[in-house]
Amino acid sequence: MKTSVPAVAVWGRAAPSHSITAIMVTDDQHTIVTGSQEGQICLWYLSSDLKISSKEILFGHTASVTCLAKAREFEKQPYVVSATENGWEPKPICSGFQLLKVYDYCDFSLLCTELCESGQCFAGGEVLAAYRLIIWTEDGHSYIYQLLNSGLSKSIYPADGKVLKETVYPHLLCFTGMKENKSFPFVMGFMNERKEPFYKVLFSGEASGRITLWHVPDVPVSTYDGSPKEIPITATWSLQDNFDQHHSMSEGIIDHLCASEDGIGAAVVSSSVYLSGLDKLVCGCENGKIFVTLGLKTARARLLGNMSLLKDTLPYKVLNGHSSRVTCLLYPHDKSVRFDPSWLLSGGQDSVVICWDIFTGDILHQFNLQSGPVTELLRSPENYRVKDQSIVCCVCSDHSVAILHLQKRVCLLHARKHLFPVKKIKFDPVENLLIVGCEDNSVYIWEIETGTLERHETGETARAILTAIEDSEYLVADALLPVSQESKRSKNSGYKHSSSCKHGMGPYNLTHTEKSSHKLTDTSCIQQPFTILPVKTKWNSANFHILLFDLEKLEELLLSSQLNGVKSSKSFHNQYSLERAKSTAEKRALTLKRIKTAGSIPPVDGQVDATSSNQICRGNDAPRPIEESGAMKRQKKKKSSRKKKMQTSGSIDVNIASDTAKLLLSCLLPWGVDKEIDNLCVRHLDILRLQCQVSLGLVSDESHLSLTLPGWNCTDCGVLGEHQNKHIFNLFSRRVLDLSNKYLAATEGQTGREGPENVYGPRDLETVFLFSRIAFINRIINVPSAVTDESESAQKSESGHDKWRNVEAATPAFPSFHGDFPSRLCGVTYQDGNN
Amino acid sequence: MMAAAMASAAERAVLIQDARNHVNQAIYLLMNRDVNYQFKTGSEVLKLMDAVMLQLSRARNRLTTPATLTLPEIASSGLTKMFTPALPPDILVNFYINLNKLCLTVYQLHVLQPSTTKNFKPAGGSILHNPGAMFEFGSQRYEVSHVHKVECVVPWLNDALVFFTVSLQLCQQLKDKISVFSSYWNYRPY
Repeated sequence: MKTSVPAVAVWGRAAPSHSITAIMVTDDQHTIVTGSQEGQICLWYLSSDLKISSKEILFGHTASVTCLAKAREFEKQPYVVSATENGWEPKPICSGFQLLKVYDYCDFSLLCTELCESGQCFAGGEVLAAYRLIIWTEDGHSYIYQLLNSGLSKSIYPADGKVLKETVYPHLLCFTGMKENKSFPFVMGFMNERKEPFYKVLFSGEASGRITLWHVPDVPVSTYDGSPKEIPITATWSLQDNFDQHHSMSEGIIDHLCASEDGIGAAVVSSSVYLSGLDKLVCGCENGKIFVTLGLKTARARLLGNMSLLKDTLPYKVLNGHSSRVTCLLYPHDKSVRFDPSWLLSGGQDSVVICWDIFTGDILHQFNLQSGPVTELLRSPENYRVKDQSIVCCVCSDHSVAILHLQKRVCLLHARKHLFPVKKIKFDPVENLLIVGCEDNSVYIWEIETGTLERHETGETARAILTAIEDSEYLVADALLPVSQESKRSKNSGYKHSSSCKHGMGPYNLTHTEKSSHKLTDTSCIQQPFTILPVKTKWNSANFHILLFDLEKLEELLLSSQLNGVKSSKSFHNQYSLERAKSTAEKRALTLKRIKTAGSIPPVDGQVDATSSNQICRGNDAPRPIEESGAMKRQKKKKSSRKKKMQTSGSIDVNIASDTAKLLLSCLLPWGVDKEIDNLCVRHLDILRLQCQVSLGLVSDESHLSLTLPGWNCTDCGVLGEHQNKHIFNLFSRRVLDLSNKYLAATEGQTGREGPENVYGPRDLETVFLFSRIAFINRIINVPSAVTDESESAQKSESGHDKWRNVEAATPAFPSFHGDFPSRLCGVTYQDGNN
Repeated sequence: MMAAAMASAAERAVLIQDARNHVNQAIYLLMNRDVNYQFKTGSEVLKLMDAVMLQLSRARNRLTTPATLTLPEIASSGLTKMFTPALPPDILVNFYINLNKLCLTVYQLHVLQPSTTKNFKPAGGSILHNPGAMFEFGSQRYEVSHVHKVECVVPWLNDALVFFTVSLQLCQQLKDKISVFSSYWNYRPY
């Protein structure tokens, strides 16, 4: 089945770089499609008065996009095919550029002979009308020529061009004023539409990511004195323009924290990592500071409006240790239990790797490598653990590789011979060797114990060595954590953050995160229904974060929590975590008691749970006891973690689940359509209004990600621009209103009798209900795509039918849920009152 | 055989021509701008170097890594067919460049009878097939019985490879030097 995960992007100030290598306009002239060197595809909306705004960005390719083409239209749904150069054996182009292009040009204009202009390369051309040609060059110029009516090829020669001015006038169309910026050729195209609503459009894309449009008049004429006329630029736009225009949307995820910290302005996040087990977001900044915050709360504070309270009380910690930019972060415990859960590694521009205690914020050790900025931090593969428990690999920008032993706090080996950037790192556990593959396909083999270079191989031998190790590794470790870049991309999710910087964006890693998360859930680790995925872009420091929501998981959690709330007395725990929760339950009770005895917990928000508030405390103004109890708890965790993996830290709280659900609902609800609904949502459902429009996205099964860009359909959180949308939104929002009215009517009597605390009950239930609807719709949308995919095997479609059955089986649950709502409500409210 | 080698110069030229085209593209990328063009940003240079290095390494790979062919592919290739008079049906010829060497491989074949009890396992793609490799071609099954290999060192190919390596290293050094300054860039490349 195709699963798609809804995502919300939190951009930074700078737009992701987009060096256009291919450009195309769809037939309806409403969409421009561009492919970039980074491998992303960007869709731009072209309005009927030729205004450009960016619309969506698609992550799918890892290599540069070379070509875009229209596919056949299925039921008016345009499809676009894109091609990249990612093969091992790319076909070489058999003739030089200049020759080829000129030849093309000749082919085009059957009438005339070659037109040679010194120093310029023709990139393409098209026939405008009878005897009129438009040609464009690779440096972004274009010319319209009028040919001789007689069509005599003899009469036009480049040398005579000036003599025959009456008939052949090179008609200079446009200067883009970007002469200085031609480090890479422009990509141009022309769209010739004769029908009325459409235009003749000449478009060009630049390596800088700028799109320029010229509207070519139907009858191009020269000026009266016969000199060429310049056609002005009709529209020009780039991603950064969009980001600048909507800067409330393009605010980084922790910008408000940094701003409050020093008051000078937000520090730019240069690297980040999300610890899903602890719901902690760790962001390293340009100025060397590392912020540790709670992921979900940070996201809520960033996205939701009227959250000044939450913003102010957002717990965070600042780790000061690096003197300059933090280039990479690694939380080794995340994917491998042999590392201590408190260890957090950070590498900086200053060539220092610091091992932190994430809970206390202390520096455990500082490795001074003295070999340029640290570019990557990697765990050693799982099969290497026979030798040493906690080994981390560190790649520096002088292409050296350091092996750090975290337990002993020593640098075991610093291999510094590599001439080219390091592409693969492998371990041979048998002979204790480090095998480093470089970008020039050479291989260096180091002996770890002695630190000597044992062999250096190139060419075929090198390839053989690398593949040989790869095989044995997979056999041994079953693709658990091999440190190779290749397998990083294809096999595991361990290095998703670090690898993405080299491959532009790591869309491959996305699914693998998902997949592995499913795997993890199977193997007793609880995965949060909510994940923050940091994304690094290739050329500039425009990093952004993607919030991923696991709908199924969320729904499951919410429903089970509701049921539990009715049946058992422990509303904290859901069915899902019951087995393991039993052991933690007593512990938590203990902690709670301790907190109660130690002092009062200031509730940050109406429903902040105890566990999350004692995980991280805000700086110094949080009461001390909580921190202590947190530390105590951690001590216990430390002891038990070896055996129980990440369970304690990873157990999911219902409040987190419901907060996550509310956050997602806030992002999805059509704010501003109906005031009544807005108010209802905010006051009654506790679904808060968004601070600004968010960029929604979707991660599809094949690890492809699409994200809307800031400014697309941006309506200032108020009036919706397009009537169509309004109509569609209204369908949904009407339902919301109806439902809530029903609920209100049902609950009115109850609330009257039982007092003000009861408001919690219906609120949660409605959120759950709304949410389950969304999940349900999501499932319905997903299933047919699996079924209708006819190329799939029969087996698959059968599984699709199974899904249908499941859906049908699941649906009766909702009405019944709805039906005996009041009685359940009593239980829940009672429950809430008790707690 | 000498005549054959001469005739297959065209085939050999394909590999060299490929490499040459890549080099031409690299040169084109470098010569693409005005003589007095000034680079504005470091990332601009890095991008250019990436593109150039891609072409250079492809060109080098053309020469260093010969294509791995399956036996049926060799049998159907023009190399085997271009001989006049034609080769005996039990002879296959492959001709390629490996590093600085021109290599000629002659495979002597042995027809496998359909009734044979030997279990037939077709060989995969390889640069050099060993005796005993089996394949099916034109509804007939064959087994390689003998392999003869002749190598000839071409000095200028060696030079070419060295130059490729040196140029790649130069590009990489330029990249390294630029990225030293990357921490001082105030990011806004364009």
